[in-house]
Amino acid sequence: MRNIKIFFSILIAALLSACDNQSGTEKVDFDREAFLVNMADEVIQPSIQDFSIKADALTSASIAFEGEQSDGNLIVLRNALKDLWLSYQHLAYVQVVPNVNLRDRVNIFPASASKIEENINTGNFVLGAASNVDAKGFPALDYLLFGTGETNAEVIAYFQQENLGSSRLQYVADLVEDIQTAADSMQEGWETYRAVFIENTGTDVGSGTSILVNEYNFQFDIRLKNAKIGFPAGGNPRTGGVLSPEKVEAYYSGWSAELAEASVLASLAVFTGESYQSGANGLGMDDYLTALSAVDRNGDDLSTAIISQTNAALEEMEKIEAPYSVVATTEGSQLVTVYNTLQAVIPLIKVDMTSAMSVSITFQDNDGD
Amino acid sequence: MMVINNQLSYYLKQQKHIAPLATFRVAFGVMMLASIIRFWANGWISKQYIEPDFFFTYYGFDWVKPLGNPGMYIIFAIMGLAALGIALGAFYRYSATLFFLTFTYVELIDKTNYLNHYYFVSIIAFLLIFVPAHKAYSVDTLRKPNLKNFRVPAWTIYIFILQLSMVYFFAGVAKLNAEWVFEALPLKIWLPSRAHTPIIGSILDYRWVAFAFSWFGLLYDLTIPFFLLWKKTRFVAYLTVIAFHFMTAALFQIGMFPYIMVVSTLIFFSEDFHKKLWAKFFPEGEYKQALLQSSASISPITKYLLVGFIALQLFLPFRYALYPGKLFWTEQGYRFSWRVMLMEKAGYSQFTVAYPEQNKFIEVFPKDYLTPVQEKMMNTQPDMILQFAHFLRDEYEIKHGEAPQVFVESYASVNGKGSRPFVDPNINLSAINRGYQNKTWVLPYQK
Repeated sequence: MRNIKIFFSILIAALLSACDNQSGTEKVDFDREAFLVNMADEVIQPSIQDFSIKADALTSASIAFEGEQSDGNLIVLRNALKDLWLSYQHLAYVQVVPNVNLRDRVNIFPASASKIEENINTGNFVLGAASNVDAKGFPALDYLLFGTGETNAEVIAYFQQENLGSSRLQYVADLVEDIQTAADSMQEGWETYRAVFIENTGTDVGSGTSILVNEYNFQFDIRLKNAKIGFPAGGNPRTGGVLSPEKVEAYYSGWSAELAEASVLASLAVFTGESYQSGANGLGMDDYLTALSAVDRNGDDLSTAIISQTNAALEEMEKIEAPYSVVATTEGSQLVTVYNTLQAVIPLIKVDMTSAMSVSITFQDNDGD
Repeated sequence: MMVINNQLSYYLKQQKHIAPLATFRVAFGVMMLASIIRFWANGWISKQYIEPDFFFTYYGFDWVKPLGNPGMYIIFAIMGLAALGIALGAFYRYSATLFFLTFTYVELIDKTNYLNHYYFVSIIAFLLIFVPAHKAYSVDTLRKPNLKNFRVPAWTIYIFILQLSMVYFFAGVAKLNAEWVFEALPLKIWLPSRAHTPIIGSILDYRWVAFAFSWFGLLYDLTIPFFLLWKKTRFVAYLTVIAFHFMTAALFQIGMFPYIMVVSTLIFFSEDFHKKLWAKFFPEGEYKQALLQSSASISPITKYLLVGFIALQLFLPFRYALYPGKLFWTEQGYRFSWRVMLMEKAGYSQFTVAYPEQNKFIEVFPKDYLTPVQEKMMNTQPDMILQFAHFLRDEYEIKHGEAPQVFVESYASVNGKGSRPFVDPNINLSAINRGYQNKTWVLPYQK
């Protein structure tokens, strides 16, 4: 018995000495609930709200254009589309509301012009069908409002064409209605979901943090890096591929650069928990990582590494003057540089960040890798 | 040598009461049945063995294929009945054999789902085939009263004690690494993520707690078999077993394992303890035929099988030493070694299928072929990355009539030390063979 006592005394002494060097009271000092509340009320809710307001504007503009296909109404409609598309860039990172699936609903590009025309011609289509993901949303409107004529007059003529004009206007109305419905269900869904979002302060499956991190990562990796930059510039430009300038976002309007830059800026705003309205800094993923003492492979603060690498990508994007659809026509273009700088963010957010936060992806049993 | 051999032989063949073995049989059978029901109810049969398009088989076991729907459900139903058979001691040898075969078959389908405790279950099921755990307190003895025998050779109990001790001890040895001991990793990463756990959650953010848990876990694993073996400490040790495993159950997503260990370790308790336990249910059973000697001899086949089995058990946890490089990075010799909750590893990989002469390069998203869990597991385990590359090679060969080259750009991070390039992105994985040879195509862990 005496031996056991000695053994445990030594053990406890050793344990105390191991932690007593000023790190003894060190802790992860982070208010997870305040973080989720900030993300919910300052980032997500206003983003959904803004998207909804701009969807309303698009609906009004579309109704006006349907009533009268004037030059002025066309411009108003186009601007409404652009405002909404830009607003979407932020919401795409935080579309945490279950069962809305906003991304696939409003922004699958490139749009299929032939499918859109076919739908208009037959009048026999269901926008919600999986086969129509590339015949609706912003990219479809981009085609209809920009791609159907060289000049405004030609576009207007397209909608005033004798046989198909009214079907074309109807298709625009259907597309806008579909977007409006998505915006509405996002807003309605959020009202009930907010409580669930902030309830679980852990990082297991279904917790607000894990959903947020996964949405953020997916949008950054798949929809920003791959879809907006990688595919047009030739798939994964590192290993080579076929240049596909027609695959850029907003091919017809040429807004691709603005939208992509807005997306990168939005990623930073979401990451740092910035208030959507005021731009004030709040508790974000960056603060959580810092509280966790998360570091990159050089032992430097992980949040700082993510922010500076994202900014590096933004700088490369700002150097690009021409629309991406033009830039992507040459091998080894600036888009490849952008791709590479974005790719350097991926391991940091998909590996280092999720690892530091222990974000779980499954309910399945696990005994630790 | 002869003397030692004789003593050991005497020790292993001495007559013991069957009660501890019978308790173990029932406890294990009930736990397995509960596990199967839970697995089924969670929808995991479909999720893990029916829905995936691709399965990560073990090298040498590529012929093991899932049976689809309803095949997999039938397998699990048989497994459940066999578990019940073990618990009740009904058609015991068949039940144990059938349980071992069905369970091990399922585990061999996809290494994504590898868990040390599934491996443990397979081993225990295998051992149960060879012991007469059904010779009392069982349906079989009701069916055939002649079978009844309260005496068993000691080795049939000791083998389970040895196996459990090895599990704990090797799990402890595995924790003897600098990051576990001096940096409290990976618990320092995991515990704060559990800060919302009721009652104890609030302390999990403190760094000292991660150290306390790491050190306690290490000492627990290394010493608990000995404290359980020693009569004087056994009771306190068992309370520790309960506390330890319930704590891990509350904190981590480790399923039935804690409960399996809590009931399995009852076998460390004395013959008298178990006899009293059984006397409550079968008061008349006590020693009616107790003097019947169990067959003291053990068939040579069984004997050599068991010796070989133990030797293998002693070898496997250390086979990693045969490979160069950092074990946590390459994971060569990582599985089947009782490395439980030992590291936080994460990864990312992006595959390219290439036909260079046609200037055709296709980026492939693993999520189009794999479940999220499969992808997560693959991202951190080089052998699985290679398997998936081969799968892509074969898929594209069918599609394009010609085998492509396959490259991967991958990153991994161990214990939150930052991600590093993982597999060599310039290596054409379609031309690399699978196997136990050193994986030279995994980049060394960069400082």
